[in-house]
Amino acid sequence: VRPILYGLVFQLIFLLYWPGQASAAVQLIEQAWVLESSSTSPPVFTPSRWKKTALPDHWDMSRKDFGGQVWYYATFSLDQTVKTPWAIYLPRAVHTVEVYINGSVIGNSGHFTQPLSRNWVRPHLFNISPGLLKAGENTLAIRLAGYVHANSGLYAVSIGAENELKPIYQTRYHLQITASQMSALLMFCIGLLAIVLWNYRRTDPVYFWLGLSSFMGAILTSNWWVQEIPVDRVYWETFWYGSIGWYVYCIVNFVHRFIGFGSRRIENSFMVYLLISTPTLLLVDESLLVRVSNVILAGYMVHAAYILTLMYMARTRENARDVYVLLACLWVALLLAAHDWLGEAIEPPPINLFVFYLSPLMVLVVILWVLLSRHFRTLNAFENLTAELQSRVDEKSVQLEQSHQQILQLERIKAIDHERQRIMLDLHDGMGGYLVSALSITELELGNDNTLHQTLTLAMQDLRFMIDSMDADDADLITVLAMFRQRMEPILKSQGIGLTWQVEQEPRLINAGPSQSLQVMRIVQEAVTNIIKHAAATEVVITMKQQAIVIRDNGSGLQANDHSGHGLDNMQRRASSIDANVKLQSTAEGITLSLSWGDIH
Amino acid sequence: VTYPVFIVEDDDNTRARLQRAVENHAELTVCYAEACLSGARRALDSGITPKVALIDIGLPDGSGLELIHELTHRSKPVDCMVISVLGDKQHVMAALSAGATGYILKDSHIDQIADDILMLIQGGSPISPMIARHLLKHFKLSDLVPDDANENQSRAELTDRETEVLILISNGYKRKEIAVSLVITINTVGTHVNNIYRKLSVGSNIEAIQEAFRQGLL
Repeated sequence: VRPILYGLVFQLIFLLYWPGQASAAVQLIEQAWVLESSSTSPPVFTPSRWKKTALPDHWDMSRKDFGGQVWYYATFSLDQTVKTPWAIYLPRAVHTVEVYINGSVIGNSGHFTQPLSRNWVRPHLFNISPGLLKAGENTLAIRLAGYVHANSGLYAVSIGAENELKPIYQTRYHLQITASQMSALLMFCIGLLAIVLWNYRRTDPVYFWLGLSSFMGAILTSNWWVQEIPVDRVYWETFWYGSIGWYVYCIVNFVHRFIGFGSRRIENSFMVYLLISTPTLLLVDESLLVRVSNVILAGYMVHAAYILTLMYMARTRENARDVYVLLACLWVALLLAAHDWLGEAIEPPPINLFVFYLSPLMVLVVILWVLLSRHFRTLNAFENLTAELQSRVDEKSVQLEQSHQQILQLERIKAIDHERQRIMLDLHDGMGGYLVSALSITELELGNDNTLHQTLTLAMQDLRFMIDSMDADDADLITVLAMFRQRMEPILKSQGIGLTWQVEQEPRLINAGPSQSLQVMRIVQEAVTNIIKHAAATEVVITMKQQAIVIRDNGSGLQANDHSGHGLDNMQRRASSIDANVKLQSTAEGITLSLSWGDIH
Repeated sequence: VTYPVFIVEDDDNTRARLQRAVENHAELTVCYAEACLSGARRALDSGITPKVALIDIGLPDGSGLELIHELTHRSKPVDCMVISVLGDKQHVMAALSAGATGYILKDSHIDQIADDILMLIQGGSPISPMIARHLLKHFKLSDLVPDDANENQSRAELTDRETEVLILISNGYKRKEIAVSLVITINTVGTHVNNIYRKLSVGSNIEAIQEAFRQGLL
């Protein structure tokens, strides 16, 4: 990038000072005679009245405090009559110029009535009719009208073949007129765009000030290309100088809002300065117009310097790169201004181009670039934030969904539990109560040994087993079994059978639940009932393991003629329903019945 | 010495049976037997001083839970046993929360009923494995979930030894076996159970208990 940049800068400087390559056939007239005269036709040349002068002749230096009309006179000689079209090229003639060859007018740059045509930096090329030039000496008369202290004057004049002068003229014309017009048009459009943008985003006043500064910049560059002014010169100059002030004012406001700080007082005082200083120009004498303007301009420069200082101070606050880029751009603008000012102030004046018209455009483009990059940075940050938020929302949604499922599950469990409790309450108050009542009646009236009483006792016991299995939570098989022990032990005791209770580990079923617990309990109950009925045992050992329950008695074992199978089929059926298995081992020392199941998957 | 027993039970047969069970024992005597809440209150106001009260929850004119709460929260508390048909969690936990220190089953053998009452008097509150399991859950939940309604009440927590006792009971071990396993006396096991019951009823709110009981949420 760097070599390209250096190349461009070199190219620009080359264009600025390249006078155009002309062959020997082109004559450069750098010496002339001059006469201050308001004559409308070329006055007779008499060396006593005319003064010799070098071109460029810059009035602000050669005839200070003069405003009006001047005639230039010069001669040039030709070896022979010319056959190709010839032309005369004036790189700069401020303000209105009219050219005469051998006493005949060949063209002018406007009118001599007030206000004069404005030709500040405009080059001129006038074609010379072929018959006008003759071999030998020819005369050149130039009529130039200008204002006092208004950069009026005439640059060196070239005469030669039109096809040689035209490219030089065109280059200068494009660099001074076409480019400044384009720049003005561009700024006007961008200004319009910025104002439209601001209209949609009133909260962002930087766009407003950017748009306004663009309009002011467009007006500012009009000095390069506007030829005919619609109003009196004083009004126009006031308008134009004012535009510089308002341009700087817009930039001050913009910078304040862009960097986010700055004194309102400075904005207001600058506004007051502008409102007072600009109309002052209307009051001063026309001869003092430019001088007073320059004094007022100094006030603008103070504010320009303020902008530079402020931005330098803000470089740590705002995005440093943006501020440095803007600062550099403003410095370049100042350099261009200084360049143009020197072009009018140095003696003898260099034949340079006037390029300050590039500054507002450059500042505008750089500001736009900074604003856009800032905008895109914000946009990117915003998008990242949005994406992050979205992912967090998704995450939370998943979590919510999960907890929602958990809540549903819990509610389901709670509802089942609630229902279970309700049924139990009903059993308790209803069936349980009646059973107990019936028990007391049979006990009172028939005694304990009555079959009815015993049946009722069994019914009561069975109800208890059901209640126990339902009372327990799903995984509480051990507690259900413990309840069984509590209910069963007195019965065993009454039969003279001792019970040893061993919990090696809490048994855990594959699918735990009240009905599963009830099945296990019924299997154990059946086993114990079998022992009471058939085993002739004195001791029962019930051992709980994680995946098995083992019931061992010390009875006589299975008898050869015992076909009951100790209800093994029934137990096996129950076991199958809970994915478990029943195994019976009989020895002379007793029977070992084990109920076992697999791993919890 | 005979201990006066107060019975509140609305079923005539059951009340008669309970009376018989108490009177049959030499150390126990029925000081009063009532069928309803208001009658029980009248009897208590008249100045009877029972050692133990056997109380049914479902009384025709109110809940026995109220009576249990009143009796166990007096200046001179009376040991209360809830009369339960099935010894199920819902009834026993509600009664324990209200302040009862034991329960008797309506259909228990007459001798068993008298033994249970005497055991309570001697400091060994009856407890079943199921009740032990629910007590464990209750205290574990209290640890985890702060109770907003009782936030200014310091919730009682179980000691490690009390938890151990409850686990062994819920696993089906009997007092004697627990005493051997933990190398303590049977009486100490009973004391632990009593203490756990007391902790359950500490700061309990009778209205909340009744509401929970009614909704089957215990």
